[in-house]
Amino acid sequence: MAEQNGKTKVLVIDDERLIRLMLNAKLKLIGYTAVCVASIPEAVVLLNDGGCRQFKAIITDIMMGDMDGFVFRDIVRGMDESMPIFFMTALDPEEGSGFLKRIMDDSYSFYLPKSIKPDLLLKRVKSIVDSRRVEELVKEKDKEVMAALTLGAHLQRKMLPPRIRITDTDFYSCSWMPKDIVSGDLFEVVPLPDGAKLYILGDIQGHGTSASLSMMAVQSFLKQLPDTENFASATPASIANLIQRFFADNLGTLTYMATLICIHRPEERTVDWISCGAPDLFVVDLVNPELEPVNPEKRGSMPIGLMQDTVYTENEVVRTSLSEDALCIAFTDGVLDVYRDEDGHVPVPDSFLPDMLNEMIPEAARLDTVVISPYKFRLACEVFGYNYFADDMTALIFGARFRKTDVLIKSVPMDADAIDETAQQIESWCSEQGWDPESVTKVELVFEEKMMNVYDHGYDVHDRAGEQACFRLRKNGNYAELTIWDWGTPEPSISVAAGSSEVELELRNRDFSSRGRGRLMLRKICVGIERNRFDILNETIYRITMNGGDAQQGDQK
Amino acid sequence: MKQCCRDYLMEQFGDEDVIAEIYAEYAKSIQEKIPELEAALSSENWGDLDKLAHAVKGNALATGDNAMADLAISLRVAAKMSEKENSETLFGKMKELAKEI
Repeated sequence: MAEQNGKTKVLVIDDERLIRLMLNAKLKLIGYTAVCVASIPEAVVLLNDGGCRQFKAIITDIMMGDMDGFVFRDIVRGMDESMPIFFMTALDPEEGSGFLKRIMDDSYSFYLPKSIKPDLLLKRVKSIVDSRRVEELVKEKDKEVMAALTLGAHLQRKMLPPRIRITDTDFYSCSWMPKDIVSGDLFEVVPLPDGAKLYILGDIQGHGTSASLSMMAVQSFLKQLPDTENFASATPASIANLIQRFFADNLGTLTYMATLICIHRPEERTVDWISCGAPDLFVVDLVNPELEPVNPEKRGSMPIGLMQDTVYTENEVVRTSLSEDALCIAFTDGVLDVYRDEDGHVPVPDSFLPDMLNEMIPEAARLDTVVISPYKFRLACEVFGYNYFADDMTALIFGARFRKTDVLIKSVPMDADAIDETAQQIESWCSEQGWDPESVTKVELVFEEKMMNVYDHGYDVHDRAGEQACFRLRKNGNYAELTIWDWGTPEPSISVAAGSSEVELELRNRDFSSRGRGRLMLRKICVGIERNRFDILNETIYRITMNGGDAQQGDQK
Repeated sequence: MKQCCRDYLMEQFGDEDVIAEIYAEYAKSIQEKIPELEAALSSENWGDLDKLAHAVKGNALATGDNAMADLAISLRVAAKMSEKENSETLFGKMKELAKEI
C-alpha cells in the first residue's frame, strides 16, 4: 500500500495551498507520491480509513489552525510508534529551539526547513524511510528467528522423555526450563534390568542456540545407549566414558557438559551416582529428615568433554543408601545461577539448596505433591528471595513407589484409551477404599471429563502424542479431592464478580461449556474447583462431596 | 515574476511550467492575505495578525521572496508585542512589496 505503482507514498499536511503545491512538486521530482491534505482532521480520517501503513512517511506543518503538529503526532503514535514524521516549518529565532526540542522528544520525528531543496529533501526523507524499512526487516527477521527457536524448543521437548512417570516400583518427575526458549540442558531416563533406572542430567556449556544444538546431538546419542555392548551391566562411570567418547569423536573441543549420572535401584534402595562437574545429588530422607552430606569424600570428576583424555573410574562413583521414603533430587547448575535481582547479583549461598529442599520436600511429601515439586522450584527460589534466573534450569526428583494406600497418584498418557483405562482403575481403587458408589461415579465422571477436555483442547491434535497428565486422588475430610496436573494450554478461568446472579453464572458457564474448556457438568458435580499454574504446569483441584459428607469440612492444603 | 523568486524556484524545480504555477499560487495567497492582515490590524487582533504574518513568512520563504519574508517576521514580532504603530508601518511596506508580485 505504501508503494503505489512503485512509488513511495508520503502524507503531506499543510493549511497553505502553496506549500502543499510545492511539496507535491518536490516529492514528484524525487519519485515520491504526495497525498496532500489541508488539515489535521482530514489527515486523521485518511489514516483511520486506510491505516498508517499506506504511507512511508508524513510531512506536516507545526502551526495549523487550532491544532498543532505535535497533537497530530500524538494521534499518529497511537496508531504507529515508528512512523517517520517530518515537521516542515520556517523556524523563527524565538520559537525555533522550543520546536526543535519538542521534535527531538520523539525518536521518529525530524525537522525539515520549509525552503529545503528537492535533492536535500530526497536525501533526508529517503534515508529515514530506508532506515525504517531496515528496522522493519529486522523485526520481521526477529519474528522468523523466534518462530524457528520455538520450533527448535518444541523438537527439543519432543526428544526428552516424559515429564513424569509413575510405576508400581518407582517414580520420577523432571522439569526442563530453557532460559531463552531453547536449552542446553538435557535429561534422559533408561530402564535397566531388575527395575533399576539410569538417569542422566546434563548441562551443556552456555545456553541459547549453540548449546541447544549440542544438546540435540547428545540427546540423540543417549537414546542409543541401550544398544551399546554390556549396557545391562553399565555403571555411572562406564556411561560417563561412553558419553565422553561421543564428545571426543563428534564434538571435539567445541563444548563440554556438566553431567550427573545416577543408577537408582528401588528394590535395593540404593543409588549409584557420579558427578561430572555437576551439582551433587541431594537426598531428602523423610524418615530421618536431617540432611547429611551424601558425598563426604567429595568424589566426582570433570565435566564430560572438557578434557579429551578424561577417563571416569569407579572410584569417582558414590553409592548412597536410601530409606523407603527417601527422595533423590538432582539439578543442573542453572538452579544455582539465580540472583536476588538483576542488579544485585548476590550469589546463592551454600546453604540455599539444602535449606530450600528441607523446607519444601517434606511439605510436598505430606501433601502428596512431590511429583510436581520440580515445577515449584522456581517459585520456591523466589519465596527464598532469589528471583533472577541466568541459565537454563532442569530439576529432577526420583524415588521409590508411593507407599500410602489412601492416596492414588498416577501419570496418564494423552491417549483416549489410556484415559478410559485409568478411569476404570480409579473406580476399582475408590471401591477398594470403601467409597459409596455414587461418589465413585462422580469422581470417575469428573476425571474423564477433565482428562478428555485436556486431551481435546489442551493440546494440538498433532502434538499430544508423548504428552501426559498426572493426578492425585484422596479423601480430604468429607469430600473426594481430585487434583489433575497437565502441561497443555491453560483453561480460561471464569472470573465472577461477587454478587453475580445465578443467571449470570449460568450464562458464563454455558459460554465456557460451549468452548469445551469449562464443562458445565463439572461445576454441577463439584463443590469447588481451584486452578493454579506453576511455570508451565496447570493444576486443577476438584472437590467432590461424598455421600453423607459436609462440603464445609475438610483438611484443605 | 520577481527575479529573486524566478532564480530561487528555477534552482529548485528547473521547470518553467511548474514555477509559473507555484508563483501564481504565491501571488494569489498574498493577495488573499493582505485584506485579512488589514482587518486583523484595524481590529487590533494581534493573535490573528501573528498567525497571518506567519503564513506569509512561510509562503515567501518557500518561494524565495526573502524581502517579503523579512517583513513578515518583523510584523510577527510587532504583533506579539502589540505595537500598533510599528505594525501599521510594516504592513504598509508589505502592501507596497505585494504590488511587485
